Amino acid sequence: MQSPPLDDRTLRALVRAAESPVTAAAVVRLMFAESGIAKALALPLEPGDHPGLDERPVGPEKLSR
Amino acid sequence: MITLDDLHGRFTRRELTPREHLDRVLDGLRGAAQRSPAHAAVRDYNDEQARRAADAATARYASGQALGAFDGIPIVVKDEVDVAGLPTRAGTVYRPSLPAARDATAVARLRDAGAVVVGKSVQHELGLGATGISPHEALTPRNPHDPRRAPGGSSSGSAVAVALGAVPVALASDGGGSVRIPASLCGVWGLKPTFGRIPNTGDDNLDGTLGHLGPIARSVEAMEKFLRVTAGDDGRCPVAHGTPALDLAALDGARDRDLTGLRIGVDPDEWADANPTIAFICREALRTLERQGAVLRDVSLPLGRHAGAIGFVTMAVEAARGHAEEYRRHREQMALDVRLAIAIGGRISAVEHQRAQVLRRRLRRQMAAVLGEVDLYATPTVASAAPKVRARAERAGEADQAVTNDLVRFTFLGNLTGLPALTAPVGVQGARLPVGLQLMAKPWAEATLLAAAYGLERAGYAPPKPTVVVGADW
Repeated sequence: MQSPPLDDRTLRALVRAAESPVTAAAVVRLMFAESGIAKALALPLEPGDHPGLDERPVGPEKLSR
Repeated sequence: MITLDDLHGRFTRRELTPREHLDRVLDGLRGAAQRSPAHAAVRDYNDEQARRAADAATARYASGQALGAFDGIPIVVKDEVDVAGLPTRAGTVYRPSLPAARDATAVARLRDAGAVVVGKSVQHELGLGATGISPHEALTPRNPHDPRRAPGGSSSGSAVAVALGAVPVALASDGGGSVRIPASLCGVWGLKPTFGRIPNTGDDNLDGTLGHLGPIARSVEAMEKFLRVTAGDDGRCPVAHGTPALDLAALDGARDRDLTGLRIGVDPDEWADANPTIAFICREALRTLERQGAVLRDVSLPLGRHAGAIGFVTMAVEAARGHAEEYRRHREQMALDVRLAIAIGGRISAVEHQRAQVLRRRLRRQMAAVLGEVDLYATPTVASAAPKVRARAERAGEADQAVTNDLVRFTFLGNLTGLPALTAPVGVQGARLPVGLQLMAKPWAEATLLAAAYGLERAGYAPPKPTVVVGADW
């Protein structure tokens, strides 16, 4: 989840940090930043990103059929 | 290299019986593993069960009542897929070695067609890794073309067993590239069919939105026949329910299909992210299809570069949900890379996951637009060569994200969209490392993929001979 590659001890420490309620959010942020996830999730929305008709929630009229 | 059709032909002509062949395969696989753990592709065997199946197939051939091309054919099955009489441990060391009570649907269908299950193949723990490297003893076979390097994962043992020549086809699964990555790194064929094409029943690891079952094989015909045997709703798998039937006419015509006018899309920006030698070799393979009449076209898939990121968020969250109880009870026994992925998956917010799914829909729309212009979309299967197995990775698991990113760079697209995708062995990089070309098609158009694969096979593309082989039938 990082570069340069971690040695065993540092990797184990990172795992512990990811499992601690106090530090987990920071590990996720670090991982998101280093693996390009933060950049992807920050892409602006586009008009077509709204759910399509095929994804419209099923209404009562359909459920009653 | 002996193929499924070759074997079936030998059985039919009574040059060899399924039982004789099975005994060779069992001896060969065990012998190779004893000579070097680097070739330990199979984790669990059930010799008695396999010999019983091979004896039954031998009797059918003797009486002229063979079931078809799969009758008596030895296969291996990825550890995470249920095989009655063998344990399902999914590459872990903490799951009990109790045998599964029943076969997964795909296994049952292969066995009904006469296939002989030789054993369960090793895999990356819980399918959560692309390298196939495990810190657990004897669960990391090395690449058959270079024992210093990884075989790829997560279906590592399935690819190694096929690449070594032990079996003509293996059952594998693919949630982010786990059929195609090891097949590519080991120099064999691999097919991830359309999402839902093969029921996931009996593979509890595939209960999310990304996972597929599929074959890793020595030949295109083995993939085709595997698909014919295993595809179709079983009435028990939600993602296979209501899926269209195989287009048998298209499959029948795939082997000899004239490729004239077949449009293959290439996004130059995507290819620029691959190792230049890999890209060059893959381009040459496309030119081979071009000489058979295919037409290459530039296309654009802007979100392709983010597929790995979208895929990781999706997979990590699904893994954290699916393996929550195992993680709670057994995380100290997990490889650190797997443990880290699950821990992070459990901490990704619902908003971030939803955001990734919005992008996933956009990616699907972009791919639909691409496949409105072309019949196939081509990329290298992986962006770099098989990674070296580092000592620290063997001790703890390979957690270097750069390594994984290169392996899943082009494959996650197939899982996020559910589109069928295939990897073809199209050459070797440097002295010996295999290179795979990935082709993707429209939903349910596996026949188009296979037609192009047959075209490559006709042109001479085939698995390269590894440094070690199992048996004398190469």
